[in-house]
Amino acid sequence: MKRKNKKAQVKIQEMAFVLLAVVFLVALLFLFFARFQYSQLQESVTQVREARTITMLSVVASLPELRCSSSFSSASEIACIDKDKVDVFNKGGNIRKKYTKIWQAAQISKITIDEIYPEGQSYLIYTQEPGESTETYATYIPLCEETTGNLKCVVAKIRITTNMP
Amino acid sequence: MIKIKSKKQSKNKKAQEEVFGFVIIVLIVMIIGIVFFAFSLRRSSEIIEPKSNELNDLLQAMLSYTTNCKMNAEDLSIRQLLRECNNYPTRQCENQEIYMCDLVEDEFKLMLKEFLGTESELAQASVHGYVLNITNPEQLIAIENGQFEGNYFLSSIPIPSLSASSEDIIVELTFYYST
Repeated sequence: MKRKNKKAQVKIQEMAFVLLAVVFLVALLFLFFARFQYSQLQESVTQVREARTITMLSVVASLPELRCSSSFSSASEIACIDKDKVDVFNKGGNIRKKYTKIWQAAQISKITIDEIYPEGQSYLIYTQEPGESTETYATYIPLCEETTGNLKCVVAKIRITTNMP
Repeated sequence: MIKIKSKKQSKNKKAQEEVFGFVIIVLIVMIIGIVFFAFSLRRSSEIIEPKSNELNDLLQAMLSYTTNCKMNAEDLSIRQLLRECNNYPTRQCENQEIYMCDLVEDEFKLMLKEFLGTESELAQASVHGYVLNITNPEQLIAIENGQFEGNYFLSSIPIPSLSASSEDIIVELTFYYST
């Protein structure tokens, strides 16, 4: 009787270990699957956000209130940003307030333009209290100003910070 | 009687050994699983990668940069200098004793160093190498720095020649980056 009991105990133990191993393996497989799905989802979210912000970058850079006038552009042969217009935004005041709604609708919390070659002034186009999660994208643009019939361009970096949902 | 007892004892011992072996196998599987999972987590850490459109914008911005080289009392941009260099390779700036071709090369070298760092800084960075090729289709300027392996982005901008006697210029910038 005792011998039978012990044998049964051992069998129960074996079964418990087998079950434990099976549960662990299934959990591990699920974790891998979840991880894979999560990274796929994250990747597509990043791509969508990136595309949106890149679009915003080009939208901001091509705003008539910021971009070089057509006579400028023909001289520089590509789209550029007018230093004088940027300077007006940098000073703040009414013009910055007027555009607040546009930036807010696009979930933008900050726009800056920095002269990077040669290193120079930084310009603040717009700023507001950032959300909990933000992402900043940047690209290079020529920042030009017209001086007595001459066009002078420097390399600048435009940075846009967007609030993430 | 003694024989039966020893037989029973040996059976028990065998069963114990079996259970012990099984536990060890389960433990090994668990450890391998955990190590593998930890490794997969570590691999997914974020690497900042350059964007191809950013490279294109950089090249456009560099070409628009206005230098101190004057011609007809006007400061020339890199793009204009390249055209001059293409048409008249021995032409110099009016206000400096420097060939326009040399000035373009120097300016590109300075800019790329400023944006991407020196050779030692490049070795640590995500973008670990770059190549700038300017052709007409003969080689006009070639600048390279860092290591040229791994993935790469390439941006190519054509500059049409304004004179019928010279060929169009192609400016090609390649960034090598690690993933």
